[in-house]
Amino acid sequence: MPFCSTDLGLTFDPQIGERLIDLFAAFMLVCSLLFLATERRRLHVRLYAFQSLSLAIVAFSVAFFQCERHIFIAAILTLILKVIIIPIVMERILHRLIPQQTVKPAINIPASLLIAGGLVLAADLLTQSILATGHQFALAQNVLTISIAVMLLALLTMVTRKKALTQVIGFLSMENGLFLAGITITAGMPMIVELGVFFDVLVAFFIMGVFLYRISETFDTINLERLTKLKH
Amino acid sequence: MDAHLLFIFSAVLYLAGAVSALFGSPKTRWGAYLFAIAASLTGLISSLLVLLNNSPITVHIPILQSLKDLTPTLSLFSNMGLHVDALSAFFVLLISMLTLPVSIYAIGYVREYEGKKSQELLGVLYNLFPLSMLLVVTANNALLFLICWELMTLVTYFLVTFDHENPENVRAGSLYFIMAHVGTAFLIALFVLFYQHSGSLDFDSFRQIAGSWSELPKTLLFFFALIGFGMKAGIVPLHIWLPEAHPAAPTPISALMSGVMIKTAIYGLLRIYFDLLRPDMEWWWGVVILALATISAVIGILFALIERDLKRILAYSSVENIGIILIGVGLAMIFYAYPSSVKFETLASFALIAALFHLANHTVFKGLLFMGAGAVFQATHTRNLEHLGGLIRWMPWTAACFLVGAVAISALPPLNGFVSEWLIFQSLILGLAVPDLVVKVALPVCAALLALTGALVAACFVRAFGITFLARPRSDKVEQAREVPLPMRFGMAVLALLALSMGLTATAIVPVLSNIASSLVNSPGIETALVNGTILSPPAANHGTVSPLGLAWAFLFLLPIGIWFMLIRSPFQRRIAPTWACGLSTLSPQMEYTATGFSKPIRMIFRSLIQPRKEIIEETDESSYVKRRVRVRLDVQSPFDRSFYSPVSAFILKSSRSIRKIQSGSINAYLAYIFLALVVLLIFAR
Repeated sequence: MPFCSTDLGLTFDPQIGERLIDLFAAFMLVCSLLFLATERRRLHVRLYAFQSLSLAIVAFSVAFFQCERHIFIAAILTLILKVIIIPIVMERILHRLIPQQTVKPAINIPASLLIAGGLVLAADLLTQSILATGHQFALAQNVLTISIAVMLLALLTMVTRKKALTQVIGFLSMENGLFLAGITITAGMPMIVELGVFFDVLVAFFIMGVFLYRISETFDTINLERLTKLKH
Repeated sequence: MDAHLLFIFSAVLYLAGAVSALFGSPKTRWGAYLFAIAASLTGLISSLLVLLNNSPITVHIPILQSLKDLTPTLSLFSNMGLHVDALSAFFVLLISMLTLPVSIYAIGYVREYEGKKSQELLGVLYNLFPLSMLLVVTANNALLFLICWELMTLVTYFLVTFDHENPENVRAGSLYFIMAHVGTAFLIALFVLFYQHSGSLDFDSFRQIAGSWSELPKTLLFFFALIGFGMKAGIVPLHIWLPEAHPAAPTPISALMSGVMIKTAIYGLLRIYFDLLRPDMEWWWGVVILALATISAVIGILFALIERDLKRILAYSSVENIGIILIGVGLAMIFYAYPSSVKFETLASFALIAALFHLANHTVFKGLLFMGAGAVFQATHTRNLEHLGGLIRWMPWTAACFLVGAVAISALPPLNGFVSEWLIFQSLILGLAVPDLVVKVALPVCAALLALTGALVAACFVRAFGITFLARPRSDKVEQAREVPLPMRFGMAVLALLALSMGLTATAIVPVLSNIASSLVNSPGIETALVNGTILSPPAANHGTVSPLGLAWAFLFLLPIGIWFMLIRSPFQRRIAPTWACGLSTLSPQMEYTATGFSKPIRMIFRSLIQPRKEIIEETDESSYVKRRVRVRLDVQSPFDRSFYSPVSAFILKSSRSIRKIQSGSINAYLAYIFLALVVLLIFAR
C-alpha cells in the first residue's frame, strides 16, 4: 500500500492538491466533449483510456493529499481495469467488427457541442443550488460541476450516436463521472460500494461486448437503427 | 410429540422433496412424491395436535429474523414469521389431508409423462405447491403472506402450463396468470390500507387497531378483500379462469388446486373479516357475500351441467361449492354483526361450523372426483364425455371410487356432503330469527336457490357418472382402457373411505370445528348444544335434528328388508330381455343417451341465462334431398364474457395500442426519454 503525504512526513500547500485534482478533472470534461466532437471509433477508445487515466490520477491525488488510504485501491483498480484492460479488449472488438460505412448521428456535431455547452452550464447551476443548501464538501466545488457535466455529456453521447460501440463508451464514461463525484464529494464511498460498482462496470462491459458481436453478426452492422426491426 | 417441531419438519420435507426431484434418476422419479407423503403426514399430525390441544404455535424463521436485524429502523417486519392458530391449523390439516393421498396417486399418475415431459420439473413444482399453501395459511405478516401468495400463483401457473405443447393450456395459463395478478393487486392495496393505519405489516398490529376504522376505508377493505380473494376462490363474476386452468394442469395438481388452493382464498376472507376486522364488521357485508355466494352456487352448477369435459365439469362444480361455503360465511357475518339487542353469536358460530365442515368435505370429495377423472383420462386419453361410456366394466375400482365421490357431492346420507349441507340449510332456516326485512326476504330465496342447486348437482353427477361409466362404450378409446395402477387406486380409495367416515363421525368432527368457529367469533363453544350422543341438533331445540351414524345403521338394517322385497317377495320378478331398439335389429352405441342430450332439458329451462347457440350445417349431395352429413354445433357463451370481460379486454387493448406509439423500438429514443427526464428533474425538482 503506498503511503500518503503525512506518512512521508511531507507537508504541502493544500492548494497544490486541490489544483491537481481540478486540472485532471478538467481533462475528463474535455474528453467528454471530444467524445461528442468526433466520429472515429478508435479515437473514442483512446479518449476513454485517457479519461480513465485522469480519473485514476484524481483518485491518487485524493488518496495522497487527503490521506484516504482505501482510495488507493480504487485508484489502482481504475488504472488496471479502465485504463488498460477495457481499452485493450475494446480495441480487439474493433478489429473483429465488420468495417462499415459511417452513420450520421441523430444530431450533428456542431449542434451537439452547443447542447453540450448548455449542459455544462446546467450542471454548474445545479451545483450552485446544491451548495446553496449549505452542504460542505471535502474538495473543490468545480469537481462536482465537472462530474455532473461528465455524466450528462455521456448520456447525451448515448442519445445522439447510433453506433452500439459509442453507446458502450458513453455508458462507461458516465460511470467515470459518477465515480469522480463519489471520490471527491464524500472523500471515498465505503470500500464495499466502490468494489461493487467496479464489478458492475466490468460485468456490464462484458455483456455489452457480447451483445456487440451478436448485433454485428446478426445485422452485419452495429448501427442501432436496424434494431427497430426487432419490434415486429 | 411436539407440534412445533413437526410443523417445521413438514415444511423442510417439502423443500427436501423439491431438491431431491432435481437429482433423482429416472428410476427414482417417485422419490419426490415419497417426500411429499412424509411431509403431508407430519403436517397432518402437527395440525391435529394444534387443533386437539388448542395450543397455537409460532415458528420463527431465522433468515427473516436476520433481515429484521439488518433494518432496525423499519418496523415493517417486527414480528415476521409463521403462526399456527386454530384457523391456520385447520387449513394446514386440509392441505396435508389432501396432499397425502394425492401424492400416493401421483406416483402412479406420473408414469403418464415418462419420457415425454420433464419429471424433474414436475417433482420440484409438486413439492413447492403444498409448501407455498402451507406458508400462505400460516404467515403472520402481510408481506410474507403476499410473497407466499405469489409463490403459490407462480408455481400453479407453471403447473397449469406444464403441458405446454397444447396451445389451449398456454391460453388457460395466461388467463389464470392475468386474473391472479389482478387479484393480487387488490390484495396489495388491501394491505397497504392496513399498513397506512397501523404503521406495520404484522397481522398483530392490524389486530391492535381493529375497531378504529372509519366508514370509507372499512368499506374499501371489505371490497378489496372480496375481489382479491374472490378472484382466487372463483366467486362468480370472477370465476372464468377456474374452468380453464384447473383442467389444464396434471391431474394431481387439479385435485390440489380445486381441493385446497381455492380454499386458501376462503382462509384469507375468514382471516381478514373474522380476525383482523372482527369488531368493524358490518352486517351488510354478509348480505353481499350471501348474494354472490348464492349466484355462484347456481351459475357454477348450471355450467357444470352443460359442460362435456369431465375435468371442466368438476372445475365448475368447485365454483358451486365455493358458493355453498360462502353462504355459510356470509350468514355468519350477518349473524355476528347484526346490530340488535339480542346477539346471534351462537348462530354465527353455527353457520361457521357449517361452512368449515363443507370446506373440509369439498376438499375430500373434489380431490377424489378429480383423481377419478384423471384415472379415466389416463386410461382412455380423452376427457370428453361423448367418447366415454361403459367404463365400469374395464375400471371397476375407479368407478366405485368415483361413485362414492359423486354421492358425497350430491349430499346424500350417510356421506359427508350430506351433513355439511344439512348444517348450511339449518343455519339458513335459523337465520330467520334475525329481525330485519332484508334478511327475512333474502334467506328463504337463498334457501330455495340452494335447494335448486342441490337438485342440479345430483343431475350433474348422475350425468357425469352415468355417461362415463355406464351403458356401452361410445368410442373405441374405451375398449383399450385398463384399470389404473395400484398407487392411483389406493389414493382414491383412501379419500373414498375418508368421505364415508367423515359422514359417519360427524358428531366427533363438529366439536373440533366448533373450537375454531368460536375462536373466530370470540364466543364460548357451542358443541355441547350441538352434539348429543350421535345426534346433531342446531342451537334452537325446536328444529330438526339428525344423526348420520344412526342413518347409516338404519340403512344397514333396512337393506336386507329392501333386498328381500325387491328380489323375493316382489311381484316384479327379475327377467332378462333385449332392449327395444326402436324396431331396428341391433343396438348400437349411437342410440345411447348423449351427455348433450341429457342436459338438454336444463339448457331449455335456463335458456335465457346461459344462451346456448345451435348451428346446424347440412352437407348435401348434388340433390338437396340427399343429405350426406348433418353437423350440429352447439356452444354456450358465458354471459360474463360477453357483457363484461370482452368490453374490458377490448378497452385495455385499445389503450395499450395508443400508448405503444411511444415505443419506437429505437434505443436512442429510449435514452432520450431518460435523458430528458433526468435534465427536467435536475433543473426543476432540485
